[in-house]
Amino acid sequence: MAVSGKNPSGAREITLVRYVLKNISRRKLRSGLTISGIAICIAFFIVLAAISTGLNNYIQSELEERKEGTIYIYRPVPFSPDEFETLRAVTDEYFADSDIDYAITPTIEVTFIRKYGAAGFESNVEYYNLMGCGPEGVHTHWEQYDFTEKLHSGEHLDTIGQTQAGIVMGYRLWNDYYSNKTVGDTIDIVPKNISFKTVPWTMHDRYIAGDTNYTTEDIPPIRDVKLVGILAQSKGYRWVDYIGFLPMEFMLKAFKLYDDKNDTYYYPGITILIDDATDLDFSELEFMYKEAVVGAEGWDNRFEMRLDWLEDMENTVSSWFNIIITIISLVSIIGVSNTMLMSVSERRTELGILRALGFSRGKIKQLIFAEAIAICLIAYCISLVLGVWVSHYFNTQYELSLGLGESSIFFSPAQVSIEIVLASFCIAVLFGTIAALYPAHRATKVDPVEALRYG
Amino acid sequence: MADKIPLIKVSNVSKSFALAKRARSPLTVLHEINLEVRTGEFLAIVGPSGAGKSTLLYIMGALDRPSSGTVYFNGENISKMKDRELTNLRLRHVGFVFQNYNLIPNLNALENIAVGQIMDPSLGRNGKGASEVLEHVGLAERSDHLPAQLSGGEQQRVAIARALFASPSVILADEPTGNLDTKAGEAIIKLFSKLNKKLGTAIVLVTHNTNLAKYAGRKVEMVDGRI
Ligand SMILES: Nc1ncnc2c1ncn2[C@@H]1O[C@H](COP(=O)(O)OP(=O)(O)O)[C@@H](O)[C@H]1O
Ligand SMILES: [Mg+2]
Repeated sequence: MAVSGKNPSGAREITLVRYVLKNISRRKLRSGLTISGIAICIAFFIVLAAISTGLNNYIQSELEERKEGTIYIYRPVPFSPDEFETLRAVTDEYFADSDIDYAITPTIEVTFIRKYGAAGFESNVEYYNLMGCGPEGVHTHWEQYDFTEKLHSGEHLDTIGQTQAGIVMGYRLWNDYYSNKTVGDTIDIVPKNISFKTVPWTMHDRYIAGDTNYTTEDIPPIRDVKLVGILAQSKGYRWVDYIGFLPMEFMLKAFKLYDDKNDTYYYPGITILIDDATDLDFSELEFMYKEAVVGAEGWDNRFEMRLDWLEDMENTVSSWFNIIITIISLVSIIGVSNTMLMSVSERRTELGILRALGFSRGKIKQLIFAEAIAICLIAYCISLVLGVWVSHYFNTQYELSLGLGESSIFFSPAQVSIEIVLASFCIAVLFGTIAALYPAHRATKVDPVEALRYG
Repeated sequence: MADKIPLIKVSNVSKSFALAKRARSPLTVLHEINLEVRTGEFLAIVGPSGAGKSTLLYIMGALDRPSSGTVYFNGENISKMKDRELTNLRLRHVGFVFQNYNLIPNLNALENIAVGQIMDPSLGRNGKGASEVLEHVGLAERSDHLPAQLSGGEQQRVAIARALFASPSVILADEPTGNLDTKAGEAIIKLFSKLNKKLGTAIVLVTHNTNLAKYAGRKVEMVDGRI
């Protein structure tokens, strides 16, 4: 009853897949080279598509953000209170005829980076930001992310009448430098090896003179700050994890943007919040500002700059995309086709034998198609790893470059979506199929009698 | 059970090859051949090189078509069959054994035997499994060896096992000992003889070696495309 045969039913000695894989692995060098070539081609496709998708999504979310309405204006030469009032007047004038709700607040943002690199940033350094935060609290212009909801503990920052300065820290900043502190503890904000990028008020003269080499020693430490809150690790917007928020007045004082002779604060940046910026003409507003504050140099409308750059990049990528895809396809198909032709012609006898043994023309065709597609699918698996890795690297580098206020020229947001994974799979199968057409045709033309006689 | 219908019947079969385009007359290799292979018999076709033995064998095995005349397989006229049907006939009812073994170099012995399963996964299922066939030819221990790791005689045994795998009604062997020394060659012929008796598979052995023909039940001589 118990079948103890040596060929247990169900287990086949040889299958098409096994045969095909054996064929591929027999010629290791050739298969390896072909597979590497195709893998690089498909990986290229994946990365390009990922960049295209990433840029599109990024622009989309930036536009969403714009609808929410935030404009940052930065200037290495801080605005005086008078200038700020002028800008406020211009803004009032600009929005006078519309129903748009808006608010204009002074901003201070200090970027410090782990490694010193004031003159030119290394692109792979971690950066942390200190933000000045108005009376509205951390809530300020991050409405979209609603920080207040994410607070582990602590309270809103309120500078009005606040004598003891407090900081709300992003998760990463806290975790990297102050993980031994908890809410309520007092800390100093001069981490070792951290240097500041933003020009402090005291360095103003040197900046005008063109000296951009500031070191940590140039920056006064910020001492005795009370840790009043730690933000939960953010899910969508990693950048937030690298930020610390200090009360505005305190920041201005700490960075010597306070002129005690005149008892005046100077603002290096201005934030304008708009509830709906869809129909806003940014360049017109910018022009009005520049006219209003005569002689003010170094305007930096980061938001617009970044968006412009992203749109440029997206255009470039999509116009190159088709050309590169065509080239990649041709190279891949010719490569696999050539490999398959070699495989067919050196296996003429083998194919003739198979025909003699009762393999139909269709089956022979199937063998060749399967081999070509298998080569492409192995390449696909490698390219997926490669493509995802490179895309991830691009993305990380781009995110890192963001906080430095300089959009990276080379890196860009990249996102490998499910669609890309599926599309590249289809492309791999398509490459294999097209590449196998002619070799398969050649293979079916093998005459078994001839192959046996002369093979 | 003695069938009246012969297993293979070759009737008035001629075969000519068109030579160079400008040649006036084609080369005729087989001249009106008449031959019967009976179910379960061991037939030897003996003749000098170039006599047309291989050509005839390929025609009997549905691998090639005659220029004129008819071939019947189990009473069915296969000369009119479509390529697809001939292929199927070869897969299920004919086993070929060649002079130079013709094993697939990157498949091991067991896989070579069962290679027909790629064409039809159910092949050999109701018969003997590949390893049992390998036992029949006395190579049970060598199942995972590649052809290159086997001697000529052993490779030929694997080829015979492959021919047996689908339990065909006939094995057509074209000079199976041509590349072997006398001893190994004789062993192969003895194996054929044994399988013929044990399994009842008809065997057509083509050889130019008259010595080996003595193991066959019947002998046909062939010279210059005539019997
Ligand atoms: N495709 C072909 N074209 C031309 N001549 C052929 C072809 N195939 C076989 N021949 C010729 O037919 C004759 C018989 O060949 P073959 O059947 O191989 O003889 P055998 O097997 O008895 O040695 C030989 O002279 C051979 O040259
Ligand atoms: Mg011959």
